[in-house]
Amino acid sequence: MSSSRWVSLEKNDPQLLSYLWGTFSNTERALPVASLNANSSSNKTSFEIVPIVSVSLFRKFVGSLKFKNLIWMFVPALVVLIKNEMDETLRDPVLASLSLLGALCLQMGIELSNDIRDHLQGLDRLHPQSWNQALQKTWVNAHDLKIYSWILLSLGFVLGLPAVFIFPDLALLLTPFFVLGFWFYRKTQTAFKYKAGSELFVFMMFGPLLTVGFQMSFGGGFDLEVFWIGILSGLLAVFQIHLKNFSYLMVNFQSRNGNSVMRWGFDKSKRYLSLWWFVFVVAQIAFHAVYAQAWALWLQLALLLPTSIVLFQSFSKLDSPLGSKMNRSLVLAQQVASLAGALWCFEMILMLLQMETKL
Amino acid sequence: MSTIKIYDAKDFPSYLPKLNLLYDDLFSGGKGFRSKLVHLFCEALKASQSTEQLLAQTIEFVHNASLLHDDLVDRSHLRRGKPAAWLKYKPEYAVLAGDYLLARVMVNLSHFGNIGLVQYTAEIISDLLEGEWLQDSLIGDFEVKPRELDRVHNLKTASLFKWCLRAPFMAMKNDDLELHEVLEEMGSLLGELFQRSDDLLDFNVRNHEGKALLGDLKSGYLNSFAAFSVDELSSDIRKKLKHAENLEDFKKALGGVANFEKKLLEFDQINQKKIDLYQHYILTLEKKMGPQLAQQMKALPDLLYWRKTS
Repeated sequence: MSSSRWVSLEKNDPQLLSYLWGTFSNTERALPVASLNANSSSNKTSFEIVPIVSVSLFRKFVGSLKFKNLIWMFVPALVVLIKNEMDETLRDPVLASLSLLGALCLQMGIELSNDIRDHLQGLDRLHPQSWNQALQKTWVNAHDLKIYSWILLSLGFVLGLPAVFIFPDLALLLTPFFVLGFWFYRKTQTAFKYKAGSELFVFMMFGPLLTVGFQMSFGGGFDLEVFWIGILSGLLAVFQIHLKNFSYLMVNFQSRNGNSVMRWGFDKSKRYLSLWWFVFVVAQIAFHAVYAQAWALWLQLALLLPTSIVLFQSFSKLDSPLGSKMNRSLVLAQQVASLAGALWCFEMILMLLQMETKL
Repeated sequence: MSTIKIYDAKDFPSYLPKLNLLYDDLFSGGKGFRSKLVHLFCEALKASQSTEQLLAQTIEFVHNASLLHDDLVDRSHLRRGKPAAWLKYKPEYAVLAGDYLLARVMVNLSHFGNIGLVQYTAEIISDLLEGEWLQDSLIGDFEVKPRELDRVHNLKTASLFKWCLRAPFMAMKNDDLELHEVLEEMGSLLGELFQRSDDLLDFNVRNHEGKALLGDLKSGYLNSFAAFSVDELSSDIRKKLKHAENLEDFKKALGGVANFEKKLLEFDQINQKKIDLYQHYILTLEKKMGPQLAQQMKALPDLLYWRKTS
């Protein structure tokens, strides 16, 4: 016999929030019971009550962060940093590092805030694989996550402040976006990441706004090249969102979460994903043709083209949203996207070293 | 329950003798488990005999229609120990006979006049077909994950269990949201447990009925227990399983009898946890419907998963 204990609470039960936040007990955690019935109403929430697994504060904090996702901010930031170093527009390396650190903190804070929202709205019971790992392992409760999220958001804000004071144009660029983003976040009933609008938000946040913002905080001002880098990194970041939505297509369809992949459906989404990646590859190669050295362009052509063709073939062969073909395609897509990011960083570092050697 | 007659030749056109012959074969020998489940709820709700007859007939018609189609899709030769309809008659007749049963369901339910029940039944039928479609796409896939099979089984197997639990309440115009939500989850769990236990029969576990062994595997389908057993194993081992001729080969590929037993124990423990959750949901049913129905429902996992007949 298993030793599990279960509790079900109605929406208007005064105890519900304390179970969701995890403050109902000092020795136990309440894990929402996963459900396969995405289309069912959720008038009642059921929890499995399990004992807390005690770990150090450091492990709690680090375990709740999603480091893997940082790469989609780190890649464009590194590219812009090296570009500015090569252009000799990097006026203050300390300020640049503070801005980068601030942006990474903001990203981690926003992601934790999304996890909390998923948890409170019961969406994690439909997507158990996307649960915050530390929450699932009972290391932390939602209340702890909220504290971590606020710490990271505040830290991100504080670390970004010096750049805003020194370059006030940055405030003009970022404020309307964050106000709009916050308003949209508050307005939507379901988690922000399941909405079509979030794709635009992610595109801007990991795209032009990030790269242009970075360059401005380095003292480099605006130029077309940095905007183009932003378009590329935005396309890469939204590709990740599309892949995730594609993997959750069945659940999202049943629960009527309105992202663009869900609206396209399975067959059209395969083409949509291929088209999205095709646009990225064309834009990346065009960018290299205009701004990079010849060897870098050839490197992109030699590695990105064949791997992309394999990816297109893999997408076109998909015939079911379930099964190993689907899983392999998703892994391949992640690998090809990571290769594109790694390749970009590699050539930038190499170009920098080349330049330093010449000097 | 003895007064409920699911199949009556008079319900079908007498000028289609072959159709009637096919149904005679199909409906004889079934255990009628789903209609018995409907009966439990109709009795507790004090539904009229005609309502119970309609609901019992509906679920058995839908279930048997799915069997007609399923056997053809899987190319199964036997159904309830007799030649499958598509083989005995011809595939076209099996398809038409299945379609005809589903059409009769809609005709009969429409006469009843409860549009909510008609809609819910149509949704369940579409879930069933989606599950069938998805399952077919997994044939030959030996890398499939257990959680993916759970999704298929929730559509294909559990949908009918959910209907058995909820439809009597809908027929009696009981729209208690909390109750329907709990019944939906209970139906999901019962369906999952039933499917998993059925999948274990393939490996001669609690196989009191003497079902043929490794049927799913030989048809190229990795069922829930097989998928669970190989979940963390390499592709090479999965390939070996693909070619397992008998149970001994399967156990050998898993690393021996001891490993097989270990996996079985883990599988049973996971499912016992599901049974515990099901028993927790029964508390809500008991609160709403009283102890008698709850008591009867409590015993179901023993029958469906542990295959205890007494």
